[in-house]
Amino acid sequence: MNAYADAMTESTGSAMLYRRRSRHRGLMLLLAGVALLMSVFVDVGVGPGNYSLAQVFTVLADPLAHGPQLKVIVWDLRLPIALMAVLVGAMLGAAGAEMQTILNNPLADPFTLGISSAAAFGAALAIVLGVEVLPFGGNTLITINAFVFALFTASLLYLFTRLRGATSETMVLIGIALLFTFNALLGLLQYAATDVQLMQIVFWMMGSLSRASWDKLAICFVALVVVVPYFLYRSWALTALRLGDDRAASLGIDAQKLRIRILIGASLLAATAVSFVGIIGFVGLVGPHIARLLVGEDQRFFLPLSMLAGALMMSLTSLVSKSVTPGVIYPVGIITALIGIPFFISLILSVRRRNWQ
Amino acid sequence: MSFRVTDLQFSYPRKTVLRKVDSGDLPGGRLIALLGPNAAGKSTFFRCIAGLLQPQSGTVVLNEQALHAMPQTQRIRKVCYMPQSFASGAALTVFEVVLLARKHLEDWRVSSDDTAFVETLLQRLGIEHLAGRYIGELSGGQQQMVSICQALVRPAELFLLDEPTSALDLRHQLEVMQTLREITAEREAVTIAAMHDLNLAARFADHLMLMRDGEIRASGTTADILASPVLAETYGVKIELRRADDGTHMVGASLAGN
Repeated sequence: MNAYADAMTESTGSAMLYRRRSRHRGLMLLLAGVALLMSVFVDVGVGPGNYSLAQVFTVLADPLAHGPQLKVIVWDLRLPIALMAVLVGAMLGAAGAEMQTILNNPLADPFTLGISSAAAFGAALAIVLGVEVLPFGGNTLITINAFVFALFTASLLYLFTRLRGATSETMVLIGIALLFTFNALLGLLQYAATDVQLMQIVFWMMGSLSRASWDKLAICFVALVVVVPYFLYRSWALTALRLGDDRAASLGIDAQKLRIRILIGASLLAATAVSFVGIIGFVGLVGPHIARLLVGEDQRFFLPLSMLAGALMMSLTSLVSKSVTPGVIYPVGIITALIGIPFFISLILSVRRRNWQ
Repeated sequence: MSFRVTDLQFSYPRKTVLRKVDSGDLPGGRLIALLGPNAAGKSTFFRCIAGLLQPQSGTVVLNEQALHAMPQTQRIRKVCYMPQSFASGAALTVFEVVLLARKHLEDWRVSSDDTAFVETLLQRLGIEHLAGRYIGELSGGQQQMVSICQALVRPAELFLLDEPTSALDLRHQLEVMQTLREITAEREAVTIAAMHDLNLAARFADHLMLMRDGEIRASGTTADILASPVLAETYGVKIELRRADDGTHMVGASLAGN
């Protein structure tokens, strides 16, 4: 048998090719997982204070091995921030992937439908009107307000789509209307705010991991554990949705109902993320695009890889944010956008163009 | 195996689409062509049977089971409706798209039975070489072939195919109709294909149904319907019927009055 015939027998059998592709995609998930793990380790190991990696890792195993100071640095500062980066990245990645799927739009991200501006408005409202008035901790109020407004937008959207029919076009149009409304309201608040409040609003909106804590980690974790299994459970239906509503319907999928349920899940993830760490752009947009490029849109692979890609991006960003200038930790929201934009443009220039019509 | 639609009526708020559709008894294992001018109600008819639209009245009975009274989740396993258009730019391969139609009602994991079934079907329709291509990169005709595979991969008892050959070249039209006919006979399924090409219908269909203005005008064996004056009347044309050397009917049509 000559080489040509070998190549032929090698490549025949579409079932075998499919299985090989599936294995390949599984490997991709594994690699992304390993990369994420390494990034988290380095993220915990590096930071202001000049402790060696070896010291830091001993403290991870035995908190008081190098005295209480290093315990506080590792366990109360670095570890929550590093893990928060992972969870927020995963939440934004998952929410972005499903927003792009249900809206049938490559530009959709977790914040497309006005969720971020609603959260920002909620936070600003707390900063301008509430913080000094209410006795219990100011930051909690900001977080809760942001969350409530983000979810409020999502439910407004839900209401409108129930009235008008949940097609991707209606959702996007109503989402844009909500976005502009909340931006205008935010502008109004900023106009009325004092200089100090204005600064606080601006800082809140930049997005920062420094507000991480174990409580918030637990809440993020719960949100993921509640929402992601449902997304995975509907994997086949969500994949089918990308073939158009008509075809999905012919396969027995109620596209509108599915879209609304997924919207609720994605909104919950996005609202939790934005209320804890502020607005972090591009992760939820670019993460799914990387995943789509690597494994296609079979949701069984697309969703997990979107989450891993988002988590990896956030973790690396957290690393970069404290490595650029020693002693200074930049808000991650700025870094994601600065790294995200050139990366995104190179992706657009290099990738298949036909994935959206 | 039999299929029967009785008294099916469907109206949109301002427009009646199906007046009173009676299909008569339709046999299993045979290829049935649904013919009729544009906007006759063919797609609406299919959608009502598949449960995508709720008819105002009527019964739909497949193998002694009342489809119209069945919950949608159950009905979708028995009835496979293939819509006309297939336009998607999703990053999904042909193999994935076909597999998807088989898997989404079943369990999450893909077994080797599933992949083997898909492979056989792709081979049978002659598009296995496209298996690894993204659907957005295919031509219109190739997408239509994928769409047909996506329908046939499902273990249904009734197949409703909306213009399965409209984008295909001559050779593929013949091949697809031949395959449809064979698969229908093998599975003893009821297959109804809405079509516009009378010659293709004459060559491959065992049974013809003529639809116009939301009513079935005639239903019967291919030879009977082709010979009936209702055919010319339904389309508003003059029909000239010939026999080819192999005995199949050839339909020539011209505008009445010429």
